[in-house]
Amino acid sequence: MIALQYILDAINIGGLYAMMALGIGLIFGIMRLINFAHGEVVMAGGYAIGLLATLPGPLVIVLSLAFIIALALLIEQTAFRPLRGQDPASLLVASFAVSYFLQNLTVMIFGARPLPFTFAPVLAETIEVAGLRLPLLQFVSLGLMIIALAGVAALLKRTALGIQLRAAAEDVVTARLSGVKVNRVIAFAFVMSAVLAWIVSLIYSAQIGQLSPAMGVRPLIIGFVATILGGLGSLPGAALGGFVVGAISVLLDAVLPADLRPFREAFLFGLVFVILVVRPDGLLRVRAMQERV
Amino acid sequence: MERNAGDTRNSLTARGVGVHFEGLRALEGIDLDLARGEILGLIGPNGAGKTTLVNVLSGFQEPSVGTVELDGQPTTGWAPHQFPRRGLGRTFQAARLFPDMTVLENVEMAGVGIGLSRSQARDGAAEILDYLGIAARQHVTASALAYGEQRLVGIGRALAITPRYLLLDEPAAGLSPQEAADLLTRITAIRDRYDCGILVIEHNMQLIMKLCDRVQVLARGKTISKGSPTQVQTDQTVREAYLGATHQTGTRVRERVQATVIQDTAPLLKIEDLVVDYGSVRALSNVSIAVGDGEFVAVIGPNGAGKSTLLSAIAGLTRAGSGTISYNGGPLASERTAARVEMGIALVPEGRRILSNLTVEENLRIGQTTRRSELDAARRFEDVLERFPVLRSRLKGYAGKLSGGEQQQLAIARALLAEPKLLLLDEPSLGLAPLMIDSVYETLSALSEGGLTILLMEQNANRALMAADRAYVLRHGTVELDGQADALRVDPAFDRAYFGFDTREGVVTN
Amino acid sequence: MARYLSPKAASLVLAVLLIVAVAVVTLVCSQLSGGSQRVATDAMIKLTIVVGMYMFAGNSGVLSFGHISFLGLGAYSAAWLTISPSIKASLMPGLPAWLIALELHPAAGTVAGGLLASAVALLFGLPLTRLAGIAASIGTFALLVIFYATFSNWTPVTGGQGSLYGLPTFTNLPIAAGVASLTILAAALYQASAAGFRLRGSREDPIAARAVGIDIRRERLIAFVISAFFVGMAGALYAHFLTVVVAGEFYLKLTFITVAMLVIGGMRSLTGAVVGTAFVTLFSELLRQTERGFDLGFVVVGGRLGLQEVGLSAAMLLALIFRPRGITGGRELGGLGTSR
Repeated sequence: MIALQYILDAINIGGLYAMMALGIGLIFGIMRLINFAHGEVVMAGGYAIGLLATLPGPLVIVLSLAFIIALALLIEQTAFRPLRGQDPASLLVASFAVSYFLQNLTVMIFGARPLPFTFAPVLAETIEVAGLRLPLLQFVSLGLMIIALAGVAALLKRTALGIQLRAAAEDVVTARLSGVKVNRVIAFAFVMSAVLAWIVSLIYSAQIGQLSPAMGVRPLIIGFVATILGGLGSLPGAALGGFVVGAISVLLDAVLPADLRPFREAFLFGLVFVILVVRPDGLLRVRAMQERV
Repeated sequence: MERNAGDTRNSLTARGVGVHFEGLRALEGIDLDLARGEILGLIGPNGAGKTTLVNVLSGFQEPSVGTVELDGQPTTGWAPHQFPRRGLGRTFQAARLFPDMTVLENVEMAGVGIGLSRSQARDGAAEILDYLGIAARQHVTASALAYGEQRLVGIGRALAITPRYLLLDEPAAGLSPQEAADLLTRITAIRDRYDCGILVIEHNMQLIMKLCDRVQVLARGKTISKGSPTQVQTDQTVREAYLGATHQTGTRVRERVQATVIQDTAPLLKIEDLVVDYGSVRALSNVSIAVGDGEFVAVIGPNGAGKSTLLSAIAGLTRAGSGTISYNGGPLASERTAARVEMGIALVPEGRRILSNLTVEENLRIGQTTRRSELDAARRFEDVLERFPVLRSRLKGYAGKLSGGEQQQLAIARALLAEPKLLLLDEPSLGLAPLMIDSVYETLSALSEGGLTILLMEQNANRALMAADRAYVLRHGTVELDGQADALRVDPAFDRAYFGFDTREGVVTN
Repeated sequence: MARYLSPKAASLVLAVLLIVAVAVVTLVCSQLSGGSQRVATDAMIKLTIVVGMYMFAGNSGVLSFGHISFLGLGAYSAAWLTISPSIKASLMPGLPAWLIALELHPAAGTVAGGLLASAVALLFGLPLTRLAGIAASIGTFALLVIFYATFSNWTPVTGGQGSLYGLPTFTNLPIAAGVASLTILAAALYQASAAGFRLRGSREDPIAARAVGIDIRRERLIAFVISAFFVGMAGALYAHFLTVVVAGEFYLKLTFITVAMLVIGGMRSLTGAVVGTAFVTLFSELLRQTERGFDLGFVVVGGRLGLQEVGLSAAMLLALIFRPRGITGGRELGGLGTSR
């Protein structure tokens, strides 16, 4: 039973990280930008949902989602587009600045103190399944994750824009030569990553039960580990990396002695360090990539 | 200056060197000897593996098999930075100067790199710049130099390690004829001054033939000829490696539907006085080319002639300095690449550039972005697959797993799905086996007979001339010769326009 | 005239000019109120950090997000070595007995902080310098997170989330300015040295650098270790300035501010590091005054917490977009030190 609980936890946490990692990976793949500000998009999503919580549920969803997408597009247009083509380090610093900007703008508007998150309190109720008492939230998040991951996979695999996105991520010049409009494709990547961020906002805010300006940092950093683990630029790798990180953190929680548990993050980043040095392409090297000369 | 050829203490030698990248054999079984005091030319068509060989010799590429010995010492396991410290200097195709540093600092860096103090290195650098006659430019920032000067500083930098062996990768690329002539005397003088062995990769045949004591010719990663410049010049295998074999049997020379070109009707593509510069390098100077509707035109020229630049300008990937490109009666100016694709211009890029992480089908689908109706698109897709049955059976597989010939077909198919009026191809025969080349050309001939207008860039002249209606010969960014393809194949002026000398007589002219 | 000086002479002149500027600021500020002096002292410590970071990042071209870990190491060393044994025994019972018993002079603690940071930099630098480009920057970021997690959780040794108090007051404006000047001098000498020159060559073009005999890993490692030393010293000074050590100080915020100083000033020159620190300090002070709110005549603009940070990040974005090489454009004062 305990094992089952651990597995469920691992999947749930892993799914959350997988979505973070995908949100980061989508942008990296196409722009070679490690988007630190992705965490703040999650944070903004949490605030949007939380502040609109008094409205009818569907309206909250539509409005907050629209807000997040608009925000992501705004960031792309104002901060990242002018820097396109610069070296990855400049882009990284820029996203760092955007992240800091949004965090502190939130402090300016709503103050630094946490606000309660009250949307859909029903999520906190527990239900009993096979002798396990589980919060409803776990099921909702599991469902959302499956939909989101399958949705992203389908969009990338089946739609013209998705295929174009993958094409541009591999070789921008060839994509252009094939008539791909790169600006549109980049905007599409930001929209997809914003939707993923929104789902994370909903689940994560409900999990921690409050909103704070810096709440996006932790999921970002862990999602970032997952992206590295999967190999920067590989989307299946990013998703897999998310689940691996989820499994590792649940495992560390289970096996580490209590006084070492707080060091989980140190261990995770120690792992990042080792991966970068030993296997810089990540766990999952895309096979087809190797065929390339 | 005479030395025993077997004396490995005073030579840089490669024995049985092979480099394999993921199944592709970039080099195979290469033996090379560079003795101190000699100048060895390394030539071969594009994709022959010349730069890879220089990378192996200078430690930037570890050979998959074989060994490299420097003065009799095996270099296995050496890091690249250990080579210069033992007297091996090299230059790069792009000069690769330290852009924000001054000329003096660039040369000084090499001395400091091999372990001299800054003041020693600086004195040495000043002396080298003086020797090269560019002392007056020593405080100029490298990125502000003219192209010819950059190349010279690159050589100066390699001299600052006091080389016993010097590898020069296309030192004359982008130089004017006068600058190239100066370079020739310069390299000879350097050999005498440093008593070093010099290996020169060059596409400028005139330069190679005048400069070198010996020449080694690579094609498809293998040595196909070795000997004195005269021997190599008259070696027909060398001529064929560049121009392609002259097919007498087995291949059909295309029936020309319109042997006389439609000069009277407005051409589909008309380029007038096109000039393209990359920084301080002139890639194309006053190129004028016309392609009639339904015509199959080839532009033939050696590597570095400006062929890819010409296509980039037409496809909108490169901006023209001056001159006009008109297409379908209207000028092409600021239209982006995607817009040009929609207007019916499709480019099959050099090296194919298929998207290896996408499936074959996805590669094809991204070519379809410009289509409007579903039905149309589906029909078009079927048509193209009809033409390339190999692709149909591999639709769900990753494109990276296709063979070179299949990838070329995929690249052409992808371009065709955009329903082009004008198909541009950049060296479709590059790196393909002869049989594959045949099949690619059969496809092109069939497309041309179907009424598609084709503009083809080729190094493989014989193959291109057999397929095309008309051709231009491009060398050093200028059109040297043009005419009907049949006529050019037997034109005595052809070799001179292409190589800069006459291969039949082995006479080097200026 | 700069071009006729030898590299070493030019960089010495540069160092002297920058140090004179530091001295003037110090003299002026020492006449001002205690509050201003504290701001200036804080700025001098930041200057030491930024110039220390510059030695590695500026010369190698690899932006480091991990140097604040070295700052933390320096600060904790100061705490371990200079807090009185009785307080140490209660705050950090996990320390070995000999260390608890030790109570050094703050100056010794500062040097020890630098040495510890250098040793750690050597240990992590060995694998880190194998990485190129963006992977190297990510690696330094991993360093930051690893140390932050350790500082904030290894309670018996670091006090964990709580604060370590009881450090002797040591850092004042002259001391901070003195160490900053020393750091500037070291940076100038390093960049004129053969090692610094080789590292800049690898920054300009790594492949060409190898082709002239430069061992990039070795040069990067040297710079990493030296630069960690100065940042570590700054950490100890910082601890003796605040007289408390809190783990939360050594994480993203300070990383952001120091990287902003380096980038806004122009990370490719020593002058850039100094100018960036000065600019960001003044700009932040201005915003901090504004944060309290002021009367525009027709409307009273309320003070807002966070305005300082918002302004700073906006400035940094603008600098990246419109002046990617920073205020100085990566040039040295008066063209001293010929390469940019």
